Amino acid sequence: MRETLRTRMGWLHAWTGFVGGLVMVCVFVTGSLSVFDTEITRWMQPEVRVAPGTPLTPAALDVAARMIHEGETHGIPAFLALPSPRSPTLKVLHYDGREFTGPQLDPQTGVIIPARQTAGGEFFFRFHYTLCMQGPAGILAVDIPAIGLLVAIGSGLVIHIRALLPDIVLLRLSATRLRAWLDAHLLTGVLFLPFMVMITYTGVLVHVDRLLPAIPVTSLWSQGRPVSRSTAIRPPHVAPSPVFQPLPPLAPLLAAARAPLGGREAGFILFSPDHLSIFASDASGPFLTRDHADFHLPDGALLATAATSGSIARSVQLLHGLHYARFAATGLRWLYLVSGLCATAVIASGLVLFGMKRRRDRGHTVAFRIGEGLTMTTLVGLPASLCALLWASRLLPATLPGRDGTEITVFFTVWGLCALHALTCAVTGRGLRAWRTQLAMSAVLAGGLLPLDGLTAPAALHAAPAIHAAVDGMGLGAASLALYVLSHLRDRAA
Amino acid sequence: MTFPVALAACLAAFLCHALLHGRRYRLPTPPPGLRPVAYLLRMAAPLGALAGAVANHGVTGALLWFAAASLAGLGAGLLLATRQY
Amino acid sequence: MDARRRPAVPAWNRPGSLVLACLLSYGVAHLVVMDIARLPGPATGEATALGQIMALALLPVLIVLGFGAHARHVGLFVVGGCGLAAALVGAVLS
Repeated sequence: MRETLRTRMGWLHAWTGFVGGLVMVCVFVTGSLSVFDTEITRWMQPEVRVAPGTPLTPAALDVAARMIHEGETHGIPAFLALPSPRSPTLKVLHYDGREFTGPQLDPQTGVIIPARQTAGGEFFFRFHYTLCMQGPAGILAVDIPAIGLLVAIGSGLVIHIRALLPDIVLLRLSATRLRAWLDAHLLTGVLFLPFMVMITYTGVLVHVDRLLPAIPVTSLWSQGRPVSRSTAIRPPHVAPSPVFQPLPPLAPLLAAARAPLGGREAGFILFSPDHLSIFASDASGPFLTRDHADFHLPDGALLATAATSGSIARSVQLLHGLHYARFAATGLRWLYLVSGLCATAVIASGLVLFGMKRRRDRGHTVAFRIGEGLTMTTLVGLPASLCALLWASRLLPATLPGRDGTEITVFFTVWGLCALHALTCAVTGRGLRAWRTQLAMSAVLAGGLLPLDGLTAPAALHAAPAIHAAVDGMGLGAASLALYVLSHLRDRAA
Repeated sequence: MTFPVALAACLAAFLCHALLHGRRYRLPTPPPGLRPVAYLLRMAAPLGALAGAVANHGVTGALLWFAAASLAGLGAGLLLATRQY
Repeated sequence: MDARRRPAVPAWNRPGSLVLACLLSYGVAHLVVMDIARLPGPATGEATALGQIMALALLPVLIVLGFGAHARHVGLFVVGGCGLAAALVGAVLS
């Protein structure tokens, strides 16, 4: 085989796209859903029926302040997430080693809402950037395939550069199946190229310290060395437990913080033994700042204001803000979701093309069949497992201890079973049958969300109709897509 | 209003682009008088929409424009593809 | 040179060449971060952030270049040359 730039780039595009794509489909699907993580959490907690825009009262803030002070004296530091148009409740949150958790209060009365424990939309967010793996390994497991995706995009551009502009809206559905898939891949790939590059680049940039730390390479390895025996047996230094000052009324402090924060709404409050910090809301602009006003405890006098200046810091904040999209109004959020799903379609069509191009020559090999099984696990198994998570959030008993963990177990169990089924069928030469079975299962799980919602939480449907209509409608959309693909596969089999 | 305007402008630009590459897209060749108009529309409509979006909404406007351009391209592609049937 | 007259290169060297391109490109990107972090002017944290922004944008480009320009391993030499230049700048700055 003669090596030309085009063949070499084709090989690079195919393999980095396939290997990275298997992970990136998972990252893009869950990332797209994370744009509406708060709304998904509300769908998964039908007990929370506080209307958006319910005013926050000083009484509710005082109840929250008492809970936080009590927690601090018991060694559980917590912070206060203030109500917002997307999440109308007051949340007293602490980190349990895996996620932020805690009670939700009615913003008007301060009464604890007896909401079920759930993995919530937070799970999609956490899975999106760590694949639910602990420590830096999870972040690197996402970041390295993301770099692979950027390499695939670059090599794809080199291959397609001549036809990039003339063929920008070319789609030949009536051509051969391979040609039609390739056109669909190119059409969505080129049109959503700016979004894909922006979201992948800014996503890796969020945790770039893990990938490109500003320390010599040699010290990277020395950091991970096991602790020597002499240091291991040394008793740990025990710091004296700090004395937490009583908290003043929070409502006047929130009003006082407005001016130093430049008129921006407050997002959350952090508490220290001798001061508290009121942070600007992430929704207040495209720059994801951590600007805050500090108040002395217990008298509540303004101590200082921390606001980031400097062009580089502002640029970083903008790049982070573009990725998180917390500033975006509902309309722009929907565009993020649609763009994210289209980007997923680009990668998914690439995975399908990878298999189609190799099926004739290598379809009989075990390696090819494992690749097909993995593709199936990613493209069909993942959406089915995500739907299973939503089913679990409604069907598990509301008072079950460790309920959120059980939901996650259900998700991974279903995904694992899908993987086992896909790989077994693919390796034994029954790949098409496995595609059909899993597509049918996905259609049932996704399409069943609407009746499930209506039967298990009819009151919540009336309290937040837009959220429930959106989630159930997305389920119906996914089910329709699965049925459409299934009907095409049946035609092919016939 | 920014998004629908950008969507319409980009859709018009993509359709003009297809018209200018008639053979590729299996479209009739436009009359000579129409070609300069199509060239102008292809360039001016999206750029005008971008300028308007950024001037009115800053970063959000730019994001809206990119999303509109992508979706308009997808719409144009599907429209031209279904025309063949 | 015409593509048809180019000597055939065995396909098995592609994965090796990709691994080499990745390692070299990562080294160069890391050196860029280190160099910019040492630049006099902006505060260390800000300079590091700037270095990371640039290095991250550079990394995929370097990998594509290092792997793609295969004739006489020009790509790898160019990436290696960039690394050498970055190392020299680092030595001057430190």
